[in-house]
Amino acid sequence: MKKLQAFVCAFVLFVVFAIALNAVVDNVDFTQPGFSTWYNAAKDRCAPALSANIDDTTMLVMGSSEFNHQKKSKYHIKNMFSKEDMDVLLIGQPYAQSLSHAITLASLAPDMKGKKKVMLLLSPTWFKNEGVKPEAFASRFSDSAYVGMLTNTDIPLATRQAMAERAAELLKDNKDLSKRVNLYNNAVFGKNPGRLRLFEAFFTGWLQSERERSQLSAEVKLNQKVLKKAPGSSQDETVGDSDEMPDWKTWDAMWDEADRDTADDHDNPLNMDERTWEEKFKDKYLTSGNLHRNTRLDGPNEYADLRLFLSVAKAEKLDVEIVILPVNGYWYDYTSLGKSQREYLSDEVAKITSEFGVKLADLSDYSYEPGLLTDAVHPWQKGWVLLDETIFSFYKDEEPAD
Amino acid sequence: MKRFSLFTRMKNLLTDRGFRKYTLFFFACMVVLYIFLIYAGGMSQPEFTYAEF
Repeated sequence: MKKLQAFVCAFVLFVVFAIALNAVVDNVDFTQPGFSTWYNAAKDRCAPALSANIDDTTMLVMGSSEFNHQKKSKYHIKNMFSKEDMDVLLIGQPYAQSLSHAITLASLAPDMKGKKKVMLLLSPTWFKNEGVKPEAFASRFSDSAYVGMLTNTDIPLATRQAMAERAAELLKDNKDLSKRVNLYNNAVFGKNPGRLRLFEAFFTGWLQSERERSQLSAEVKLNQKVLKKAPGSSQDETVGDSDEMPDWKTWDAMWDEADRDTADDHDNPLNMDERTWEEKFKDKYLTSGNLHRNTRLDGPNEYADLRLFLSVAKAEKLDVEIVILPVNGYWYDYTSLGKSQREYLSDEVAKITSEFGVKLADLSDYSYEPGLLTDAVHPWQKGWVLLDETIFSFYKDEEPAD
Repeated sequence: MKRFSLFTRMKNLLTDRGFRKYTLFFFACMVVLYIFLIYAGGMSQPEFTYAEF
Protein backbone atom coordinates (compact mmCIF):
# COMPACT_ATOMS: atom_id res chain seq x y z
CA MET A 1 0.00 0.00 0.00
CA LYS A 2 2.82 2.36 0.92
CA LYS A 3 4.52 1.71 -2.44
CA LEU A 4 1.30 2.37 -4.31
CA GLN A 5 0.80 5.64 -2.46
CA ALA A 6 4.43 6.56 -3.16
CA PHE A 7 3.91 5.81 -6.85
CA VAL A 8 0.82 8.01 -7.03
CA CYS A 9 2.62 10.82 -5.22
CA ALA A 10 5.63 10.46 -7.53
CA PHE A 11 3.35 10.61 -10.55
CA VAL A 12 1.73 13.84 -9.35
CA LEU A 13 5.19 15.35 -8.81
CA PHE A 14 6.24 14.16 -12.27
CA VAL A 15 3.24 15.81 -13.93
CA VAL A 16 4.12 19.11 -12.23
CA PHE A 17 7.74 18.66 -13.35
CA ALA A 18 6.72 17.95 -16.98
CA ILE A 19 4.43 20.98 -17.10
CA ALA A 20 7.18 23.21 -15.69
CA LEU A 21 9.74 21.79 -18.12
CA ASN A 22 7.47 22.37 -21.09
CA ALA A 23 6.82 25.92 -19.94
CA VAL A 24 10.57 26.53 -20.02
CA VAL A 25 10.93 24.81 -23.42
CA ASP A 26 8.17 26.94 -24.91
CA ASN A 27 10.18 30.04 -24.05
CA VAL A 28 12.93 29.19 -26.53
CA ASP A 29 13.16 31.56 -29.48
CA PHE A 30 13.72 29.71 -32.74
CA THR A 31 13.97 32.94 -34.73
CA GLN A 32 16.89 34.56 -32.95
CA PRO A 33 19.49 36.14 -35.26
CA GLY A 34 22.01 33.30 -35.64
CA PHE A 35 19.46 30.50 -35.96
CA SER A 36 18.97 30.36 -39.72
CA THR A 37 22.66 29.81 -40.44
CA TRP A 38 23.34 27.66 -37.39
CA TYR A 39 24.84 24.26 -38.13
CA ASN A 40 22.88 21.82 -36.00
CA ALA A 41 21.25 18.43 -36.59
CA ALA A 42 18.32 19.02 -34.22
CA LYS A 43 17.52 22.26 -36.03
CA ASP A 44 17.36 20.50 -39.40
CA ARG A 45 15.00 17.88 -37.98
CA CYS A 46 12.47 20.35 -36.59
CA ALA A 47 10.32 21.45 -39.52
CA PRO A 48 8.21 23.92 -37.48
CA ALA A 49 11.38 25.72 -36.31
CA LEU A 50 12.69 25.90 -39.87
CA SER A 51 9.32 27.24 -41.05
CA ALA A 52 9.43 29.95 -38.42
CA ASN A 53 12.61 31.26 -40.05
CA ILE A 54 11.14 31.63 -43.52
CA ASP A 55 9.94 35.08 -44.38
CA ASP A 56 9.53 37.05 -47.60
CA THR A 57 13.25 37.41 -48.28
CA THR A 58 14.44 33.94 -47.26
CA MET A 59 16.12 31.57 -49.68
CA LEU A 60 16.74 27.95 -48.75
CA VAL A 61 20.26 26.62 -49.24
CA MET A 62 20.32 22.87 -48.78
CA GLY A 63 23.49 20.84 -48.66
CA SER A 64 25.41 18.61 -46.31
CA SER A 65 28.68 18.53 -44.39
CA GLU A 66 30.28 21.50 -46.17
CA PHE A 67 28.43 23.86 -43.79
CA ASN A 68 30.47 22.45 -40.91
CA HIS A 69 33.82 23.41 -42.42
CA GLN A 70 35.63 26.67 -41.86
CA LYS A 71 32.81 27.96 -39.64
CA LYS A 72 35.18 30.42 -37.98
CA SER A 73 36.47 31.76 -41.27
CA LYS A 74 35.33 35.14 -42.51
CA TYR A 75 34.69 33.44 -45.86
CA HIS A 76 32.09 31.02 -44.47
CA ILE A 77 28.64 32.00 -45.70
CA LYS A 78 27.31 32.60 -42.20
CA ASN A 79 30.06 35.14 -41.51
CA MET A 80 30.20 36.71 -44.94
CA PHE A 81 26.72 38.18 -45.14
CA SER A 82 24.38 39.94 -42.79
CA LYS A 83 20.72 39.04 -43.03
CA GLU A 84 20.05 42.34 -44.79
CA ASP A 85 22.57 41.45 -47.52
CA MET A 86 21.37 37.90 -48.04
CA ASP A 87 18.74 36.07 -46.03
CA VAL A 88 19.45 32.35 -46.26
CA LEU A 89 18.23 29.37 -44.28
CA LEU A 90 20.98 26.75 -44.29
CA ILE A 91 19.81 23.15 -44.06
CA GLY A 92 22.41 20.42 -44.21
CA GLN A 93 24.26 17.79 -42.24
CA PRO A 94 26.50 14.85 -43.12
CA TYR A 95 24.34 12.18 -44.78
CA ALA A 96 21.60 14.64 -45.77
CA GLN A 97 21.08 13.90 -49.45
CA SER A 98 18.53 14.48 -52.20
CA LEU A 99 15.70 12.42 -50.70
CA SER A 100 15.77 13.91 -47.21
CA HIS A 101 16.01 17.39 -48.76
CA ALA A 102 13.06 16.59 -51.05
CA ILE A 103 10.99 15.66 -48.00
CA THR A 104 12.06 18.73 -46.05
CA LEU A 105 11.42 20.99 -49.02
CA ALA A 106 7.94 19.53 -49.46
CA SER A 107 7.13 20.35 -45.83
CA LEU A 108 8.56 23.90 -45.95
CA ALA A 109 7.51 25.01 -49.42
CA PRO A 110 4.00 26.17 -48.41
CA ASP A 111 5.68 28.79 -46.18
CA MET A 112 7.84 30.11 -49.01
CA LYS A 113 5.55 32.84 -50.23
CA GLY A 114 8.08 35.59 -50.86
CA LYS A 115 11.44 34.65 -52.34
CA LYS A 116 10.46 31.15 -53.58
CA LYS A 117 14.06 30.16 -54.30
CA VAL A 118 16.01 27.10 -53.27
CA MET A 119 19.57 26.07 -53.98
CA LEU A 120 20.76 22.49 -53.63
CA LEU A 121 24.48 21.91 -53.15
CA LEU A 122 25.09 18.45 -54.63
CA SER A 123 28.14 16.56 -53.51
CA PRO A 124 29.30 13.95 -56.03
CA THR A 125 29.82 11.60 -53.09
CA TRP A 126 26.03 11.36 -52.77
CA PHE A 127 26.00 9.42 -56.03
CA LYS A 128 28.40 6.69 -54.97
CA ASN A 129 27.03 3.26 -55.83
CA GLU A 130 23.55 2.81 -54.35
CA GLY A 131 23.14 6.44 -53.29
CA VAL A 132 22.02 7.26 -49.77
CA LYS A 133 22.67 4.45 -47.31
CA PRO A 134 19.72 3.30 -45.16
CA GLU A 135 21.48 4.15 -41.88
CA ALA A 136 22.40 7.56 -43.23
CA PHE A 137 18.83 8.31 -44.29
CA ALA A 138 17.54 7.10 -40.93
CA SER A 139 19.93 9.41 -39.07
CA ARG A 140 18.50 12.45 -40.86
CA PHE A 141 14.87 11.39 -40.77
CA SER A 142 12.44 13.96 -39.42
CA ASP A 143 8.90 12.99 -38.49
CA SER A 144 7.65 16.57 -38.64
CA ALA A 145 9.08 17.05 -42.14
CA TYR A 146 7.82 13.66 -43.30
CA VAL A 147 4.29 14.30 -42.11
CA GLY A 148 4.46 17.78 -43.61
CA MET A 149 5.41 16.24 -46.95
CA LEU A 150 2.65 13.63 -46.85
CA THR A 151 -0.01 16.21 -46.07
CA ASN A 152 1.13 18.86 -48.57
CA THR A 153 -1.56 18.56 -51.22
CA ASP A 154 0.28 21.00 -53.53
CA ILE A 155 2.57 18.05 -54.30
CA PRO A 156 1.01 15.54 -56.72
CA LEU A 157 -0.08 12.32 -55.06
CA ALA A 158 2.23 10.26 -57.26
CA THR A 159 5.28 12.27 -56.14
CA ARG A 160 4.35 11.94 -52.49
CA GLN A 161 3.79 8.22 -52.92
CA ALA A 162 7.15 7.85 -54.63
CA MET A 163 8.88 9.58 -51.72
CA ALA A 164 6.93 7.46 -49.25
CA GLU A 165 7.87 4.22 -51.02
CA ARG A 166 11.51 5.24 -51.16
CA ALA A 167 11.50 6.13 -47.45
CA ALA A 168 9.78 2.89 -46.52
CA GLU A 169 12.31 0.89 -48.53
CA LEU A 170 15.30 2.64 -46.94
CA LEU A 171 13.90 2.31 -43.42
CA LYS A 172 12.65 -1.27 -43.65
CA ASP A 173 15.39 -2.60 -41.36
CA ASN A 174 14.92 0.15 -38.76
CA LYS A 175 12.13 -1.19 -36.55
CA ASP A 176 11.03 2.06 -34.91
CA LEU A 177 11.20 4.33 -37.94
CA SER A 178 9.69 1.71 -40.22
CA LYS A 179 6.69 1.34 -37.90
CA ARG A 180 6.11 5.10 -37.79
CA VAL A 181 6.57 5.62 -41.54
CA ASN A 182 4.15 2.80 -42.33
CA LEU A 183 1.66 4.25 -39.85
CA TYR A 184 1.85 7.68 -41.51
CA ASN A 185 1.76 6.21 -45.02
CA ASN A 186 -1.31 4.10 -44.26
CA ALA A 187 -3.10 7.06 -42.71
CA VAL A 188 -2.58 9.18 -45.84
CA PHE A 189 -2.61 6.63 -48.66
CA GLY A 190 -4.51 3.71 -47.14
CA LYS A 191 -7.95 2.98 -48.57
CA ASN A 192 -9.77 2.52 -45.26
CA PRO A 193 -7.34 3.32 -42.47
CA GLY A 194 -10.01 3.41 -39.75
CA ARG A 195 -10.48 6.02 -37.01
CA LEU A 196 -8.23 4.28 -34.53
CA ARG A 197 -5.35 4.12 -36.98
CA LEU A 198 -5.88 7.73 -37.97
CA PHE A 199 -5.82 8.77 -34.33
CA GLU A 200 -2.69 6.69 -33.72
CA ALA A 201 -0.95 8.29 -36.71
CA PHE A 202 -1.98 11.79 -35.62
CA PHE A 203 -0.91 11.23 -32.02
CA THR A 204 2.40 9.64 -33.02
CA GLY A 205 3.15 12.49 -35.41
CA TRP A 206 2.34 15.04 -32.74
CA LEU A 207 4.43 13.26 -30.09
CA GLN A 208 7.45 12.96 -32.39
CA SER A 209 7.13 16.60 -33.40
CA GLU A 210 7.12 17.59 -29.72
CA ARG A 211 10.15 15.41 -29.20
CA GLU A 212 12.00 17.12 -32.03
CA ARG A 213 11.06 20.51 -30.61
CA SER A 214 12.24 19.58 -27.12
CA GLN A 215 15.55 18.30 -28.44
CA LEU A 216 16.04 21.47 -30.42
CA SER A 217 15.13 23.64 -27.45
CA ALA A 218 17.76 21.89 -25.34
CA GLU A 219 20.33 22.44 -28.10
CA VAL A 220 19.42 26.12 -28.38
CA LYS A 221 19.83 26.59 -24.64
CA LEU A 222 23.20 24.85 -24.69
CA ASN A 223 24.47 26.91 -27.64
CA GLN A 224 23.42 30.43 -26.72
CA LYS A 225 27.00 31.66 -27.05
CA VAL A 226 27.15 30.54 -30.68
CA LEU A 227 23.69 31.80 -31.54
CA LYS A 228 24.21 35.23 -30.04
CA LYS A 229 26.74 36.01 -32.78
CA ALA A 230 24.58 37.49 -35.49
CA PRO A 231 25.13 36.51 -39.12
CA GLY A 232 27.74 38.61 -40.85
CA SER A 233 30.05 38.81 -37.86
CA SER A 234 33.55 37.67 -38.64
CA GLN A 235 34.80 35.10 -36.19
CA ASP A 236 38.06 34.36 -37.91
CA GLU A 237 40.91 34.39 -35.43
CA THR A 238 43.60 33.22 -37.76
CA VAL A 239 43.38 35.09 -41.00
CA GLY A 240 45.15 38.41 -40.90
CA ASP A 241 44.97 41.09 -38.27
CA SER A 242 42.12 43.09 -39.68
CA ASP A 243 38.71 43.02 -38.07
CA GLU A 244 37.10 44.50 -41.13
CA MET A 245 34.38 42.62 -42.92
CA PRO A 246 35.51 41.25 -46.27
CA ASP A 247 34.38 43.26 -49.24
CA TRP A 248 32.20 40.63 -50.81
CA LYS A 249 31.15 42.95 -53.58
CA THR A 250 34.44 42.32 -55.40
CA TRP A 251 34.67 38.61 -55.83
CA ASP A 252 37.97 38.61 -57.71
CA ALA A 253 39.59 40.51 -54.87
CA MET A 254 38.09 38.09 -52.36
CA TRP A 255 39.38 35.13 -54.35
CA ASP A 256 42.89 36.62 -54.50
CA GLU A 257 42.82 37.38 -50.80
CA ALA A 258 41.72 33.82 -49.92
CA ASP A 259 44.42 32.49 -52.23
CA ARG A 260 47.09 34.56 -50.45
CA ASP A 261 45.76 33.45 -47.05
CA THR A 262 46.34 29.78 -47.82
CA ALA A 263 49.24 29.97 -50.29
CA ASP A 264 51.77 28.38 -47.94
CA ASP A 265 49.46 25.73 -46.51
CA HIS A 266 48.93 23.19 -49.27
CA ASP A 267 52.35 21.95 -50.36
CA ASN A 268 51.42 18.26 -50.70
CA PRO A 269 50.51 15.89 -53.55
CA LEU A 270 46.81 16.54 -53.09
CA ASN A 271 47.00 20.35 -52.79
CA MET A 272 44.81 20.26 -49.71
CA ASP A 273 45.13 21.85 -46.31
CA GLU A 274 48.52 20.80 -44.94
CA ARG A 275 47.18 19.91 -41.52
CA THR A 276 44.51 17.63 -42.97
CA TRP A 277 47.11 16.03 -45.22
CA GLU A 278 49.38 15.32 -42.24
CA GLU A 279 46.62 14.07 -39.95
CA LYS A 280 44.36 12.10 -42.26
CA PHE A 281 45.79 11.45 -45.71
CA LYS A 282 49.55 11.17 -45.58
CA ASP A 283 49.66 7.74 -43.93
CA LYS A 284 47.03 6.20 -46.14
CA TYR A 285 48.17 7.85 -49.37
CA LEU A 286 50.52 5.17 -50.64
CA THR A 287 48.04 2.35 -50.05
CA SER A 288 44.94 4.10 -51.39
CA GLY A 289 45.52 3.74 -55.09
CA ASN A 290 42.59 1.37 -55.51
CA LEU A 291 40.38 2.75 -52.76
CA HIS A 292 37.61 3.72 -55.16
CA ARG A 293 38.29 1.10 -57.80
CA ASN A 294 34.82 -0.36 -57.31
CA THR A 295 33.05 2.92 -56.73
CA ARG A 296 30.68 4.01 -59.44
CA LEU A 297 28.68 7.18 -59.91
CA ASP A 298 26.09 5.73 -62.29
CA GLY A 299 23.75 3.95 -59.87
CA PRO A 300 20.14 5.04 -60.45
CA ASN A 301 18.96 5.82 -56.92
CA GLU A 302 20.42 9.23 -56.19
CA TYR A 303 19.50 10.51 -59.66
CA ALA A 304 15.93 9.34 -59.04
CA ASP A 305 15.96 11.08 -55.64
CA LEU A 306 17.19 14.26 -57.32
CA ARG A 307 14.24 14.02 -59.69
CA LEU A 308 11.92 13.79 -56.69
CA PHE A 309 13.49 16.94 -55.25
CA LEU A 310 12.96 18.79 -58.51
CA SER A 311 9.41 17.43 -58.80
CA VAL A 312 8.61 18.95 -55.42
CA ALA A 313 10.15 22.27 -56.44
CA LYS A 314 8.22 22.24 -59.71
CA ALA A 315 4.92 21.53 -57.99
CA GLU A 316 5.54 24.45 -55.65
CA LYS A 317 6.72 26.72 -58.51
CA LEU A 318 10.07 27.35 -56.88
CA ASP A 319 13.07 28.78 -58.63
CA VAL A 320 15.87 26.23 -58.27
CA GLU A 321 19.58 26.17 -58.85
CA ILE A 322 21.51 22.91 -58.55
CA VAL A 323 25.20 23.31 -57.74
CA ILE A 324 27.59 20.43 -58.35
CA LEU A 325 30.31 20.86 -55.77
CA PRO A 326 33.93 20.35 -56.74
CA VAL A 327 35.89 17.45 -55.31
CA ASN A 328 39.63 17.00 -54.94
CA GLY A 329 40.50 15.83 -58.44
CA TYR A 330 44.04 14.86 -57.41
CA TRP A 331 42.70 12.49 -54.72
CA TYR A 332 39.98 10.90 -56.77
CA ASP A 333 42.16 10.42 -59.83
CA TYR A 334 44.74 8.75 -57.60
CA THR A 335 42.17 6.49 -55.91
CA SER A 336 40.65 5.35 -59.21
CA LEU A 337 37.48 7.40 -59.25
CA GLY A 338 38.63 9.19 -62.35
CA LYS A 339 37.51 12.20 -64.30
CA SER A 340 35.42 10.22 -66.76
CA GLN A 341 33.16 8.96 -63.95
CA ARG A 342 32.80 12.45 -62.55
CA GLU A 343 32.03 13.79 -66.03
CA TYR A 344 29.31 11.15 -66.32
CA LEU A 345 27.72 12.59 -63.17
CA SER A 346 27.95 16.13 -64.53
CA ASP A 347 26.32 15.06 -67.80
CA GLU A 348 23.51 13.18 -66.09
CA VAL A 349 22.73 16.02 -63.71
CA ALA A 350 22.80 18.44 -66.63
CA LYS A 351 20.23 16.27 -68.44
CA ILE A 352 17.99 16.22 -65.37
CA THR A 353 18.19 19.96 -64.75
CA SER A 354 17.48 20.60 -68.42
CA GLU A 355 14.48 18.27 -68.24
CA PHE A 356 13.08 20.27 -65.32
CA GLY A 357 14.12 23.64 -66.72
CA VAL A 358 16.20 24.65 -63.69
CA LYS A 359 19.58 26.33 -63.41
CA LEU A 360 22.77 24.38 -63.00
CA ALA A 361 26.14 25.60 -61.72
CA ASP A 362 28.70 22.86 -62.32
CA LEU A 363 31.73 23.75 -60.22
CA SER A 364 33.56 20.51 -61.04
CA ASP A 365 35.93 22.50 -63.28
CA TYR A 366 37.50 23.70 -60.03
CA SER A 367 38.38 20.17 -58.92
CA TYR A 368 42.06 20.75 -59.66
CA GLU A 369 42.26 24.23 -58.14
CA PRO A 370 45.05 24.18 -55.53
CA GLY A 371 43.94 25.26 -52.08
CA LEU A 372 40.22 25.08 -52.90
CA LEU A 373 39.37 22.20 -50.56
CA THR A 374 40.62 21.24 -47.12
CA ASP A 375 40.35 17.53 -47.88
CA ALA A 376 38.71 15.34 -50.52
CA VAL A 377 35.43 17.23 -50.60
CA HIS A 378 35.09 20.15 -48.18
CA PRO A 379 35.55 23.83 -49.01
CA TRP A 380 38.52 25.80 -47.77
CA GLN A 381 38.88 29.56 -47.96
CA LYS A 382 38.79 29.85 -51.75
CA GLY A 383 36.15 27.15 -51.82
CA TRP A 384 33.91 29.27 -49.67
CA VAL A 385 34.50 32.37 -51.78
CA LEU A 386 33.42 30.34 -54.81
CA LEU A 387 30.29 29.07 -53.04
CA ASP A 388 29.45 32.48 -51.62
CA GLU A 389 29.56 34.07 -55.06
CA THR A 390 27.46 31.27 -56.57
CA ILE A 391 24.85 31.48 -53.82
CA PHE A 392 24.77 35.28 -53.75
CA SER A 393 24.45 35.52 -57.53
CA PHE A 394 21.44 33.23 -57.50
CA TYR A 395 19.90 35.11 -54.60
CA LYS A 396 20.28 38.40 -56.43
CA ASP A 397 19.50 36.99 -59.91
CA GLU A 398 22.92 38.02 -61.16
CA GLU A 399 25.34 36.07 -63.30
CA PRO A 400 28.55 35.13 -61.46
CA ALA A 401 31.75 36.62 -62.87
CA ASP A 402 33.91 34.18 -64.86
CA MET B 1 -12.66 15.10 12.99
CA LYS B 2 -12.52 13.17 9.74
CA ARG B 3 -10.62 16.01 8.04
CA PHE B 4 -8.29 16.23 10.95
CA SER B 5 -7.56 12.53 10.74
CA LEU B 6 -6.87 12.93 6.99
CA PHE B 7 -4.25 15.59 7.72
CA THR B 8 -2.77 13.36 10.40
CA ARG B 9 -2.52 10.46 7.97
CA MET B 10 -0.91 12.66 5.35
CA LYS B 11 1.54 14.00 7.89
CA ASN B 12 2.41 10.48 9.00
CA LEU B 13 2.90 9.45 5.38
CA LEU B 14 5.14 12.37 4.49
CA THR B 15 7.26 11.91 7.54
CA ASP B 16 7.63 8.20 6.85
CA ARG B 17 11.13 7.63 5.62
CA GLY B 18 10.18 4.60 3.57
CA PHE B 19 7.43 6.52 1.79
CA ARG B 20 9.80 9.35 0.90
CA LYS B 21 12.40 6.89 -0.35
CA TYR B 22 9.93 5.13 -2.66
CA THR B 23 8.45 8.41 -3.86
CA LEU B 24 11.87 9.76 -4.75
CA PHE B 25 12.82 6.52 -6.47
CA PHE B 26 9.65 6.40 -8.60
CA PHE B 27 9.91 10.11 -9.41
CA ALA B 28 13.55 9.74 -10.51
CA CYS B 29 12.64 6.77 -12.72
CA MET B 30 9.85 8.73 -14.37
CA VAL B 31 12.06 11.75 -15.00
CA VAL B 32 14.88 9.64 -16.43
CA LEU B 33 12.47 7.73 -18.67
CA TYR B 34 10.85 10.97 -19.86
CA ILE B 35 14.15 12.64 -20.64
CA PHE B 36 15.39 9.51 -22.40
CA LEU B 37 12.23 9.29 -24.51
CA ILE B 38 12.46 12.94 -25.50
CA TYR B 39 16.18 13.23 -26.14
CA ALA B 40 17.44 9.73 -27.00
CA GLY B 41 16.79 9.94 -30.74
CA GLY B 42 18.85 13.07 -31.10
CA MET B 43 22.02 11.30 -30.03
CA SER B 44 21.98 8.60 -32.68
CA GLN B 45 24.59 8.68 -35.42
CA PRO B 46 25.26 6.15 -38.14
CA GLU B 47 28.10 3.84 -37.30
CA PHE B 48 30.23 4.43 -40.32
CA THR B 49 32.57 7.14 -41.51
CA TYR B 50 31.21 9.46 -44.08
CA ALA B 51 32.90 10.46 -47.26
CA GLU B 52 35.95 12.35 -46.13
CA PHE B 53 37.76 9.95 -48.36
